[in-house]
Amino acid sequence: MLFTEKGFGLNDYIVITAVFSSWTIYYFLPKIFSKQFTVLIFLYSLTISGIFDNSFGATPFDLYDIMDGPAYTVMDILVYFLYPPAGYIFLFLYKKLRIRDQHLVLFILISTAFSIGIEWIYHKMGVFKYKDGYNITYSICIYLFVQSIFVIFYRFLNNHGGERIGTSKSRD
Amino acid sequence: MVITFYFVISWLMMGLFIFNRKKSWGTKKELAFLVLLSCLINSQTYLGLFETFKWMKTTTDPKLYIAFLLFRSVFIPLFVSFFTLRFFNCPNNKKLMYLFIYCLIILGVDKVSLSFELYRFKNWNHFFTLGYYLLFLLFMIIALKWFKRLERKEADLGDAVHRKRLWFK
Repeated sequence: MLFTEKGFGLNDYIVITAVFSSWTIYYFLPKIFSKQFTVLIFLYSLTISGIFDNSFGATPFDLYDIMDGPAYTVMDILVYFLYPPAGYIFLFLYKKLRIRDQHLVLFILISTAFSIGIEWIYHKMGVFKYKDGYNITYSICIYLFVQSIFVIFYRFLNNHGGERIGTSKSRD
Repeated sequence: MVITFYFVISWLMMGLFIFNRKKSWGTKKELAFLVLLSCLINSQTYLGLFETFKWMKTTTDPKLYIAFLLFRSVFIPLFVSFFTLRFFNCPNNKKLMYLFIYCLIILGVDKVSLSFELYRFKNWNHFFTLGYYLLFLLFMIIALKWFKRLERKEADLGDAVHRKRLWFK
């Protein structure tokens, strides 16, 4: 497996900086979720992004490339390290701000707008390369969908997650 | 036809998972963990097989590809998670029987996928598929053990903190 496809460029520096800063933010945030639930947050973020990238970004749809080109490189894998802290920050804010049902739509809209802003910067820096008529507006649908499901997932596990084991106090 | 086939068996797995699951098998967190982890591993493995190593070739027909996505990202994660739980919770004398059924279904589904040309083998065969899915199952069982231990550790830690607080009162 190659390290990069076309040498070390601006997009590689951007990704390394972003990964480092997002994990630093995660490190300093209070750990308000249980270890099991933190694992689930990380897994959800990785799995959902993996499904979308490996479905729409791969043959035959091939709507976008990550980093320099279609080849799967070490730097492509590094991009996946961006998602777990982002997922944690999203649910952290959801829980800390105590988002009520009437404000949930607004919260997801703001979060989607923020995500689109970040993606636009990545796109301009060459981290994501759109192909075959794909543009950033399609990502709005993906973020709205993924973040809504994330909240449903959280609520589902929060209400019933530890139904069998009743010995430990749930922090989720 | 093949989309319907994979849709039906995926639906069947969901039904088995949601309605036929015994609560004693595991908590919902454990189920979520198994499904997410298996989905992550399986999608990355097939990407590696298709794009990095080029040991298999995927279809370029979008209709067939949708069927493949159902197979890769819905059916297999639910199927492997279901068998991981079954394997984890069944008595030792039944483990061999479950392993046999697991291998049989994997080979059957692999045959169906090949016959509908969802993918083609280049430097790959059914024996490798079987090997991959057996390793996959083993890894999932180890991962589930680790995940369960995480809960217990936290509970122990919680109890220790509670005891300490009582001591200082």
